[in-house]
Amino acid sequence: MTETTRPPHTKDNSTTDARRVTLFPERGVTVLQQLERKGYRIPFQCREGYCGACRMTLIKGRVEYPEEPLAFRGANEVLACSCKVVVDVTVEFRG
Amino acid sequence: MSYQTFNQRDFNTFTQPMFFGETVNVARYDQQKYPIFEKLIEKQLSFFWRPEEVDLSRDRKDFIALPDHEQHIFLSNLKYQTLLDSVQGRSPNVALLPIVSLPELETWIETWAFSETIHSRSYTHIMRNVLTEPGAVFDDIVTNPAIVERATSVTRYYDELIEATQHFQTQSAEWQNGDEGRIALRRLKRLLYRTMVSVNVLEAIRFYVSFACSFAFAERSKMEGNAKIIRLIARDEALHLTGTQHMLNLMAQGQDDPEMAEIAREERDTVVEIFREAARQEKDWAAYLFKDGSMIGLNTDILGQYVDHITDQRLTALGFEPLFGQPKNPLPWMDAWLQSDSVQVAPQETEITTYLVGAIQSEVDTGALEDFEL
Ligand code: FES
Ligand SMILES: [Fe+2]
Ligand SMILES: [Fe+2]
Repeated sequence: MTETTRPPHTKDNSTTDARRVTLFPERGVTVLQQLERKGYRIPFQCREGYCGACRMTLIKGRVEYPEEPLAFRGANEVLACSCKVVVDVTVEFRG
Repeated sequence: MSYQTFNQRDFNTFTQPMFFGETVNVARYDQQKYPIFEKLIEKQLSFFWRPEEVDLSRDRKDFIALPDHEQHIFLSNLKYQTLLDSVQGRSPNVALLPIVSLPELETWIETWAFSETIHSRSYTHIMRNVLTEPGAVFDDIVTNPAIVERATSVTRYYDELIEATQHFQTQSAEWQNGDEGRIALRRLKRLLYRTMVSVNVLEAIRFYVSFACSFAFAERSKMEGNAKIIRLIARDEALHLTGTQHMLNLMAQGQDDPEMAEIAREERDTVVEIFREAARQEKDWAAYLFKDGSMIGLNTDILGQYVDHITDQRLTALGFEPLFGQPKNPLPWMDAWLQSDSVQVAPQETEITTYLVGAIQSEVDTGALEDFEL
Protein backbone atom coordinates (compact mmCIF):
# COMPACT_ATOMS: atom_id res chain seq x y z
CA MET A 1 0.00 0.00 0.00
CA THR A 2 1.38 3.40 -0.88
CA GLU A 3 0.62 6.23 1.44
CA THR A 4 1.49 9.77 0.62
CA THR A 5 -0.37 11.61 3.36
CA ARG A 6 2.16 13.27 5.65
CA PRO A 7 1.85 12.61 9.35
CA PRO A 8 0.25 15.64 10.97
CA HIS A 9 2.74 16.06 13.80
CA THR A 10 4.84 18.82 12.41
CA LYS A 11 3.09 21.64 14.25
CA ASP A 12 3.85 21.98 17.89
CA ASN A 13 1.22 24.31 19.28
CA SER A 14 -0.44 23.34 22.50
CA THR A 15 -4.01 22.91 21.38
CA THR A 16 -5.47 20.22 19.21
CA ASP A 17 -7.11 20.76 15.84
CA ALA A 18 -10.09 18.98 14.39
CA ARG A 19 -8.87 16.84 11.50
CA ARG A 20 -10.90 15.14 8.79
CA VAL A 21 -9.57 12.04 7.12
CA THR A 22 -11.16 9.86 4.45
CA LEU A 23 -10.63 6.10 4.57
CA PHE A 24 -11.49 3.27 2.20
CA PRO A 25 -12.59 -0.29 2.89
CA GLU A 26 -9.67 -2.54 3.80
CA ARG A 27 -10.11 -6.13 4.81
CA GLY A 28 -9.18 -7.01 8.38
CA VAL A 29 -8.00 -3.50 9.30
CA THR A 30 -9.73 -1.29 11.84
CA VAL A 31 -10.28 2.44 11.41
CA LEU A 32 -7.77 3.00 14.22
CA GLN A 33 -5.11 0.89 12.45
CA GLN A 34 -5.72 2.69 9.17
CA LEU A 35 -5.25 6.06 10.85
CA GLU A 36 -2.11 4.92 12.66
CA ARG A 37 -0.63 3.68 9.39
CA LYS A 38 -1.18 7.14 8.01
CA GLY A 39 0.86 8.49 10.91
CA TYR A 40 -1.89 9.92 13.09
CA ARG A 41 -1.51 9.44 16.80
CA ILE A 42 -4.95 8.54 18.03
CA PRO A 43 -5.44 8.21 21.77
CA PHE A 44 -6.43 4.73 22.82
CA GLN A 45 -6.44 2.75 26.00
CA CYS A 46 -7.99 -0.67 25.48
CA ARG A 47 -8.19 -1.27 21.68
CA GLU A 48 -11.05 -3.57 22.61
CA GLY A 49 -14.04 -1.27 22.56
CA TYR A 50 -14.65 -0.77 26.25
CA CYS A 51 -12.87 2.46 27.25
CA GLY A 52 -14.14 4.98 24.69
CA ALA A 53 -10.74 6.68 24.30
CA CYS A 54 -10.76 6.27 20.50
CA ARG A 55 -14.26 7.73 20.04
CA MET A 56 -14.50 10.02 17.00
CA THR A 57 -17.07 11.66 14.75
CA LEU A 58 -18.36 9.98 11.62
CA ILE A 59 -18.86 12.66 8.98
CA LYS A 60 -19.92 10.31 6.21
CA GLY A 61 -19.75 6.73 5.04
CA ARG A 62 -20.47 3.50 6.87
CA VAL A 63 -18.54 1.30 9.28
CA GLU A 64 -19.26 -2.10 10.74
CA TYR A 65 -18.41 -3.66 14.08
CA PRO A 66 -17.35 -7.31 13.92
CA GLU A 67 -18.16 -7.33 17.63
CA GLU A 68 -20.49 -4.88 19.34
CA PRO A 69 -18.25 -2.68 21.54
CA LEU A 70 -19.09 -1.89 25.18
CA ALA A 71 -18.18 1.79 25.23
CA PHE A 72 -20.85 4.40 24.69
CA ARG A 73 -21.04 6.00 21.27
CA GLY A 74 -23.44 8.69 20.13
CA ALA A 75 -25.47 8.59 16.93
CA ASN A 76 -22.74 10.13 14.75
CA GLU A 77 -19.76 8.67 16.58
CA VAL A 78 -17.57 5.62 16.00
CA LEU A 79 -15.11 3.72 18.16
CA ALA A 80 -12.12 3.58 15.87
CA CYS A 81 -10.50 0.54 17.50
CA SER A 82 -13.52 -1.67 16.95
CA CYS A 83 -14.88 -0.87 13.50
CA LYS A 84 -13.94 -1.36 9.88
CA VAL A 85 -14.80 0.73 6.87
CA VAL A 86 -17.68 -0.62 4.78
CA VAL A 87 -18.41 2.35 2.53
CA ASP A 88 -15.79 5.12 2.12
CA VAL A 89 -15.67 6.91 5.43
CA THR A 90 -14.74 10.40 6.54
CA VAL A 91 -13.97 10.67 10.22
CA GLU A 92 -13.19 13.72 12.29
CA PHE A 93 -11.02 13.67 15.39
CA ARG A 94 -8.76 15.94 17.36
CA GLY A 95 -5.07 15.40 17.09
CA MET B 1 -42.83 2.73 52.23
CA SER B 2 -39.32 1.51 52.95
CA TYR B 3 -36.98 -0.54 50.82
CA GLN B 4 -37.98 -4.17 50.38
CA THR B 5 -35.35 -6.81 49.78
CA PHE B 6 -37.74 -8.82 47.62
CA ASN B 7 -40.49 -6.82 45.99
CA GLN B 8 -43.51 -9.15 45.83
CA ARG B 9 -45.39 -7.26 43.15
CA ASP B 10 -45.51 -8.74 39.69
CA PHE B 11 -44.36 -6.29 37.00
CA ASN B 12 -42.72 -6.26 33.59
CA THR B 13 -39.05 -5.36 33.75
CA PHE B 14 -39.23 -3.71 30.32
CA THR B 15 -41.58 -1.05 31.73
CA GLN B 16 -39.10 -0.10 34.44
CA PRO B 17 -36.64 2.78 34.35
CA MET B 18 -33.08 2.27 35.60
CA PHE B 19 -33.86 3.96 38.92
CA PHE B 20 -36.89 4.92 41.04
CA GLY B 21 -39.28 2.40 39.49
CA GLU B 22 -40.20 -0.81 41.27
CA THR B 23 -37.57 -2.15 43.60
CA VAL B 24 -36.03 -5.33 42.21
CA ASN B 25 -37.09 -8.87 43.08
CA VAL B 26 -35.81 -11.91 41.17
CA ALA B 27 -32.14 -11.62 40.22
CA ARG B 28 -32.75 -12.82 36.68
CA TYR B 29 -30.88 -12.01 33.51
CA ASP B 30 -32.88 -13.94 30.94
CA GLN B 31 -34.75 -10.76 30.06
CA GLN B 32 -32.80 -7.56 30.13
CA LYS B 33 -33.88 -4.06 29.37
CA TYR B 34 -30.26 -2.95 28.91
CA PRO B 35 -27.97 -5.90 28.02
CA ILE B 36 -24.97 -3.55 28.10
CA PHE B 37 -24.84 -3.88 31.89
CA GLU B 38 -24.44 -7.64 31.72
CA LYS B 39 -21.63 -7.19 29.20
CA LEU B 40 -19.93 -4.81 31.61
CA ILE B 41 -20.30 -7.40 34.38
CA GLU B 42 -18.72 -10.10 32.24
CA LYS B 43 -15.86 -7.83 31.22
CA GLN B 44 -15.22 -6.77 34.80
CA LEU B 45 -15.13 -10.40 35.93
CA SER B 46 -12.67 -11.25 33.17
CA PHE B 47 -10.38 -8.53 34.55
CA PHE B 48 -10.19 -10.12 37.99
CA TRP B 49 -6.78 -9.67 39.62
CA ARG B 50 -5.25 -9.68 43.08
CA PRO B 51 -2.76 -7.11 44.33
CA GLU B 52 -0.71 -9.78 46.11
CA GLU B 53 0.36 -11.02 42.68
CA VAL B 54 2.48 -7.95 42.13
CA ASP B 55 5.87 -8.00 43.77
CA LEU B 56 6.83 -4.71 45.42
CA SER B 57 10.20 -5.52 46.94
CA ARG B 58 12.04 -3.18 44.60
CA ASP B 59 9.57 -0.42 45.33
CA ARG B 60 10.61 -0.45 48.97
CA LYS B 61 14.23 0.23 48.03
CA ASP B 62 13.15 2.85 45.51
CA PHE B 63 10.99 4.60 48.08
CA ILE B 64 13.72 4.79 50.71
CA ALA B 65 16.03 6.38 48.17
CA LEU B 66 13.52 9.05 47.08
CA PRO B 67 14.21 12.62 48.24
CA ASP B 68 11.78 13.92 50.89
CA HIS B 69 9.67 16.01 48.55
CA GLU B 70 9.19 13.05 46.22
CA GLN B 71 8.20 10.84 49.14
CA HIS B 72 5.62 13.51 49.96
CA ILE B 73 4.31 13.42 46.37
CA PHE B 74 4.17 9.64 46.31
CA LEU B 75 2.47 9.23 49.68
CA SER B 76 0.02 12.11 49.22
CA ASN B 77 -1.02 10.69 45.87
CA LEU B 78 -1.46 7.26 47.42
CA LYS B 79 -3.54 8.76 50.25
CA TYR B 80 -5.77 10.47 47.71
CA GLN B 81 -6.21 7.23 45.76
CA THR B 82 -7.00 5.43 49.00
CA LEU B 83 -9.64 8.02 49.82
CA LEU B 84 -11.22 7.82 46.36
CA ASP B 85 -11.49 4.04 46.42
CA SER B 86 -12.75 4.03 50.01
CA VAL B 87 -15.62 6.12 48.68
CA GLN B 88 -16.11 4.11 45.51
CA GLY B 89 -15.97 0.75 47.28
CA ARG B 90 -19.13 1.50 49.20
CA SER B 91 -21.02 4.46 47.79
CA PRO B 92 -22.41 2.92 44.60
CA ASN B 93 -23.90 0.21 46.81
CA VAL B 94 -25.22 2.47 49.55
CA ALA B 95 -26.53 5.19 47.25
CA LEU B 96 -27.71 3.26 44.20
CA LEU B 97 -28.87 -0.18 45.32
CA PRO B 98 -31.88 1.15 47.30
CA ILE B 99 -33.20 2.92 44.20
CA VAL B 100 -32.26 0.62 41.31
CA SER B 101 -35.05 -1.06 39.34
CA LEU B 102 -33.32 -3.43 36.90
CA PRO B 103 -31.58 -6.66 37.98
CA GLU B 104 -28.79 -6.39 35.40
CA LEU B 105 -28.01 -2.86 36.52
CA GLU B 106 -28.18 -3.86 40.19
CA THR B 107 -25.60 -6.57 39.55
CA TRP B 108 -23.39 -4.21 37.55
CA ILE B 109 -23.39 -1.79 40.50
CA GLU B 110 -22.39 -4.57 42.88
CA THR B 111 -19.69 -5.89 40.53
CA TRP B 112 -18.37 -2.36 40.01
CA ALA B 113 -18.18 -1.64 43.73
CA PHE B 114 -16.57 -5.02 44.39
CA SER B 115 -13.75 -4.24 41.98
CA GLU B 116 -13.17 -1.00 43.92
CA THR B 117 -12.58 -3.06 47.05
CA ILE B 118 -9.73 -4.79 45.19
CA HIS B 119 -8.28 -1.34 44.56
CA SER B 120 -8.57 -0.48 48.24
CA ARG B 121 -6.84 -3.71 49.23
CA SER B 122 -4.06 -2.97 46.81
CA TYR B 123 -3.23 0.33 48.56
CA THR B 124 -2.75 -1.58 51.80
CA HIS B 125 -0.57 -4.06 49.92
CA ILE B 126 1.52 -1.18 48.57
CA MET B 127 1.87 0.56 51.93
CA ARG B 128 2.69 -2.63 53.81
CA ASN B 129 5.47 -3.31 51.35
CA VAL B 130 6.85 0.16 50.96
CA LEU B 131 6.62 1.49 54.52
CA THR B 132 7.67 0.17 57.88
CA GLU B 133 4.83 2.06 59.56
CA PRO B 134 1.82 2.23 57.21
CA GLY B 135 -0.55 3.13 60.05
CA ALA B 136 0.43 6.77 60.22
CA VAL B 137 -0.22 7.24 56.51
CA PHE B 138 -3.73 5.81 56.78
CA ASP B 139 -4.42 7.84 59.93
CA ASP B 140 -3.45 11.01 58.13
CA ILE B 141 -6.24 10.54 55.56
CA VAL B 142 -8.87 11.67 58.07
CA THR B 143 -6.82 14.41 59.73
CA ASN B 144 -4.77 16.07 56.98
CA PRO B 145 -6.72 19.21 55.93
CA ALA B 146 -5.69 18.91 52.27
CA ILE B 147 -7.05 15.35 52.09
CA VAL B 148 -10.14 16.08 54.17
CA GLU B 149 -11.04 18.84 51.74
CA ARG B 150 -10.84 16.33 48.90
CA ALA B 151 -13.09 13.97 50.86
CA THR B 152 -15.78 16.62 51.24
CA SER B 153 -15.92 17.31 47.53
CA VAL B 154 -16.01 13.68 46.42
CA THR B 155 -18.72 12.59 48.87
CA ARG B 156 -21.05 15.58 48.87
CA TYR B 157 -23.40 14.47 46.09
CA TYR B 158 -23.48 10.86 47.22
CA ASP B 159 -24.38 11.92 50.74
CA GLU B 160 -27.15 14.30 49.66
CA LEU B 161 -28.69 11.54 47.54
CA ILE B 162 -28.43 8.97 50.34
CA GLU B 163 -30.03 11.30 52.88
CA ALA B 164 -32.90 12.26 50.58
CA THR B 165 -33.50 8.60 49.64
CA GLN B 166 -33.62 7.57 53.27
CA HIS B 167 -36.10 10.32 54.00
CA PHE B 168 -38.28 9.41 51.04
CA GLN B 169 -38.25 5.69 51.71
CA THR B 170 -39.36 6.10 55.33
CA GLN B 171 -42.54 7.97 54.36
CA SER B 172 -45.91 6.28 53.87
CA ALA B 173 -47.04 5.15 50.42
CA GLU B 174 -49.76 7.78 50.68
CA TRP B 175 -47.23 10.57 51.22
CA GLN B 176 -45.01 9.26 48.45
CA ASN B 177 -47.90 9.30 45.97
CA GLY B 178 -49.14 12.72 47.04
CA ASP B 179 -47.98 16.19 45.98
CA GLU B 180 -45.12 16.34 48.44
CA GLY B 181 -43.94 12.90 47.41
CA ARG B 182 -43.94 13.83 43.73
CA ILE B 183 -41.86 16.92 44.42
CA ALA B 184 -39.52 14.90 46.62
CA LEU B 185 -39.13 12.26 43.91
CA ARG B 186 -38.24 14.84 41.31
CA ARG B 187 -35.63 16.25 43.68
CA LEU B 188 -34.28 12.72 44.21
CA LYS B 189 -33.88 12.27 40.48
CA ARG B 190 -31.99 15.54 40.30
CA LEU B 191 -29.70 14.45 43.11
CA LEU B 192 -29.13 11.12 41.36
CA TYR B 193 -28.21 12.87 38.13
CA ARG B 194 -25.71 15.12 39.93
CA THR B 195 -24.30 12.12 41.76
CA MET B 196 -23.70 10.25 38.51
CA VAL B 197 -21.94 13.30 37.08
CA SER B 198 -19.75 13.61 40.15
CA VAL B 199 -18.96 9.88 40.01
CA ASN B 200 -17.89 10.35 36.41
CA VAL B 201 -15.69 13.26 37.53
CA LEU B 202 -14.21 11.11 40.28
CA GLU B 203 -13.39 8.11 38.09
CA ALA B 204 -12.68 9.79 34.78
CA ILE B 205 -10.83 12.93 35.93
CA ARG B 206 -9.64 12.73 39.54
CA PHE B 207 -8.36 9.19 39.18
CA TYR B 208 -6.60 9.91 35.92
CA VAL B 209 -4.78 12.85 37.52
CA SER B 210 -3.60 10.51 40.26
CA PHE B 211 -2.55 7.91 37.66
CA ALA B 212 -0.35 10.56 36.05
CA CYS B 213 1.53 10.97 39.34
CA SER B 214 1.94 7.21 39.78
CA PHE B 215 3.26 6.78 36.25
CA ALA B 216 5.59 9.78 36.50
CA PHE B 217 7.64 7.78 39.00
CA ALA B 218 7.65 4.70 36.81
CA GLU B 219 8.73 6.80 33.82
CA ARG B 220 11.98 7.25 35.75
CA SER B 221 12.09 3.53 36.59
CA LYS B 222 11.00 4.17 40.19
CA MET B 223 8.12 2.50 42.01
CA GLU B 224 7.40 0.19 39.10
CA GLY B 225 5.51 -2.41 41.10
CA ASN B 226 3.20 0.37 42.21
CA ALA B 227 2.74 1.39 38.57
CA LYS B 228 1.92 -2.19 37.66
CA ILE B 229 -0.92 -2.16 40.18
CA ILE B 230 -2.10 1.24 39.03
CA ARG B 231 -2.29 -0.04 35.46
CA LEU B 232 -4.60 -2.83 36.56
CA ILE B 233 -6.67 -0.26 38.43
CA ALA B 234 -6.72 1.99 35.36
CA ARG B 235 -8.06 -0.86 33.23
CA ASP B 236 -10.94 -1.30 35.69
CA GLU B 237 -11.60 2.43 35.84
CA ALA B 238 -11.86 2.62 32.04
CA LEU B 239 -14.73 0.15 32.30
CA HIS B 240 -16.35 1.98 35.21
CA LEU B 241 -16.39 5.28 33.42
CA THR B 242 -17.95 3.57 30.41
CA GLY B 243 -20.71 2.26 32.68
CA THR B 244 -21.35 5.72 34.07
CA GLN B 245 -21.34 7.32 30.62
CA HIS B 246 -23.99 4.81 29.55
CA MET B 247 -26.17 5.64 32.55
CA LEU B 248 -25.80 9.39 32.02
CA ASN B 249 -26.60 9.11 28.34
CA LEU B 250 -29.61 6.86 28.96
CA MET B 251 -30.86 9.41 31.45
CA ALA B 252 -30.36 12.33 29.09
CA GLN B 253 -31.98 10.60 26.11
CA GLY B 254 -35.32 10.27 27.87
CA GLN B 255 -36.60 6.89 26.67
CA ASP B 256 -35.68 5.48 30.06
CA ASP B 257 -37.48 8.11 32.13
CA PRO B 258 -38.81 11.27 30.47
CA GLU B 259 -38.64 13.23 33.73
CA MET B 260 -34.95 12.35 34.02
CA ALA B 261 -34.34 13.78 30.54
CA GLU B 262 -36.03 17.03 31.58
CA ILE B 263 -33.82 17.17 34.63
CA ALA B 264 -30.72 16.45 32.55
CA ARG B 265 -31.61 19.44 30.38
CA GLU B 266 -32.20 21.68 33.39
CA GLU B 267 -28.92 20.54 34.92
CA ARG B 268 -26.62 21.36 32.02
CA ASP B 269 -25.14 24.41 33.71
CA THR B 270 -24.73 22.52 36.96
CA VAL B 271 -22.87 19.74 35.15
CA VAL B 272 -20.44 22.23 33.67
CA GLU B 273 -19.96 23.77 37.12
CA ILE B 274 -19.26 20.36 38.67
CA PHE B 275 -16.56 19.75 36.05
CA ARG B 276 -15.13 23.28 36.40
CA GLU B 277 -15.02 23.00 40.17
CA ALA B 278 -13.34 19.59 40.04
CA ALA B 279 -10.71 20.88 37.61
CA ARG B 280 -9.97 23.77 39.98
CA GLN B 281 -9.72 21.41 42.96
CA GLU B 282 -7.38 19.09 41.10
CA LYS B 283 -5.11 22.03 40.28
CA ASP B 284 -5.10 23.09 43.94
CA TRP B 285 -4.21 19.53 44.79
CA ALA B 286 -1.34 19.61 42.28
CA ALA B 287 0.00 22.71 44.04
CA TYR B 288 -0.11 20.83 47.35
CA LEU B 289 1.67 17.80 45.88
CA PHE B 290 4.54 19.86 44.52
CA LYS B 291 4.71 22.39 47.37
CA ASP B 292 8.20 21.29 48.42
CA GLY B 293 9.51 20.67 44.92
CA SER B 294 8.64 19.15 41.55
CA MET B 295 9.86 15.97 40.00
CA ILE B 296 11.42 15.31 36.60
CA GLY B 297 8.65 15.42 34.05
CA LEU B 298 5.91 16.62 36.37
CA ASN B 299 5.13 19.85 38.18
CA THR B 300 2.14 21.98 39.15
CA ASP B 301 1.85 23.57 35.70
CA ILE B 302 2.14 20.41 33.66
CA LEU B 303 -0.27 18.50 35.86
CA GLY B 304 -2.64 21.48 35.60
CA GLN B 305 -2.49 21.28 31.81
CA TYR B 306 -3.26 17.59 32.05
CA VAL B 307 -6.29 18.44 34.20
CA ASP B 308 -7.52 20.83 31.47
CA HIS B 309 -6.93 18.21 28.79
CA ILE B 310 -8.70 15.36 30.55
CA THR B 311 -11.58 17.56 31.76
CA ASP B 312 -12.35 18.67 28.21
CA GLN B 313 -12.09 15.12 26.92
CA ARG B 314 -14.62 13.89 29.49
CA LEU B 315 -16.98 16.84 28.97
CA THR B 316 -17.10 16.36 25.21
CA ALA B 317 -17.72 12.62 25.69
CA LEU B 318 -20.96 13.60 27.43
CA GLY B 319 -21.92 16.02 24.68
CA PHE B 320 -20.83 19.24 26.43
CA GLU B 321 -18.68 22.07 25.15
CA PRO B 322 -15.04 21.97 26.30
CA LEU B 323 -14.02 24.44 29.02
CA PHE B 324 -10.33 24.86 28.32
CA GLY B 325 -9.98 24.88 24.51
CA GLN B 326 -9.13 21.17 24.28
CA PRO B 327 -5.39 21.42 24.94
CA LYS B 328 -3.10 18.61 23.84
CA ASN B 329 -2.12 15.98 26.35
CA PRO B 330 1.07 17.42 27.91
CA LEU B 331 2.04 13.95 29.18
CA PRO B 332 2.44 11.88 26.01
CA TRP B 333 3.82 8.94 28.02
CA MET B 334 0.50 8.59 29.85
CA ASP B 335 -0.99 6.74 26.87
CA ALA B 336 1.69 4.04 26.94
CA TRP B 337 1.05 3.44 30.64
CA LEU B 338 -2.72 3.46 30.27
CA GLN B 339 -2.81 1.03 27.35
CA SER B 340 -4.23 -2.11 28.79
CA ASP B 341 -2.97 -4.31 25.97
CA SER B 342 0.44 -3.42 27.29
CA VAL B 343 -0.40 -4.10 30.94
CA GLN B 344 1.58 -7.26 30.25
CA VAL B 345 4.61 -5.52 28.87
CA ALA B 346 5.36 -2.66 31.18
CA PRO B 347 7.87 -0.33 29.55
CA GLN B 348 10.15 -1.26 32.39
CA GLU B 349 10.12 -4.85 33.50
CA THR B 350 8.72 -5.65 36.90
CA GLU B 351 8.66 -9.06 38.48
CA ILE B 352 5.31 -10.75 38.43
CA THR B 353 5.14 -13.64 40.74
CA THR B 354 2.02 -15.64 40.16
CA TYR B 355 0.01 -17.25 37.49
CA LEU B 356 -3.05 -14.99 37.46
CA VAL B 357 -1.29 -11.91 36.25
CA GLY B 358 0.63 -14.35 34.07
CA ALA B 359 -2.66 -15.26 32.46
CA ILE B 360 -3.20 -11.61 31.63
CA GLN B 361 0.30 -11.60 30.14
CA SER B 362 -0.49 -14.38 27.75
CA GLU B 363 -3.27 -12.36 26.17
CA VAL B 364 -0.75 -10.15 24.40
CA ASP B 365 -1.99 -9.27 20.97
CA THR B 366 1.12 -9.20 18.84
CA GLY B 367 -0.61 -7.13 16.19
CA ALA B 368 -1.31 -4.41 18.71
CA LEU B 369 2.28 -4.48 19.92
CA GLU B 370 3.57 -3.44 16.53
CA ASP B 371 2.13 -0.03 17.22
CA PHE B 372 3.38 0.13 20.76
CA GLU B 373 5.72 3.03 21.29
CA LEU B 374 7.78 3.88 24.31
S1 FES C 1 -9.38 2.22 22.50
FE1 FES C 1 -10.80 1.67 24.03
S2 FES C 1 -12.70 1.84 22.97
FE2 FES C 1 -11.24 2.10 21.41
FE1 LIG D 1 -11.23 2.22 41.82
FE1 LIG E 1 -13.93 2.87 39.70
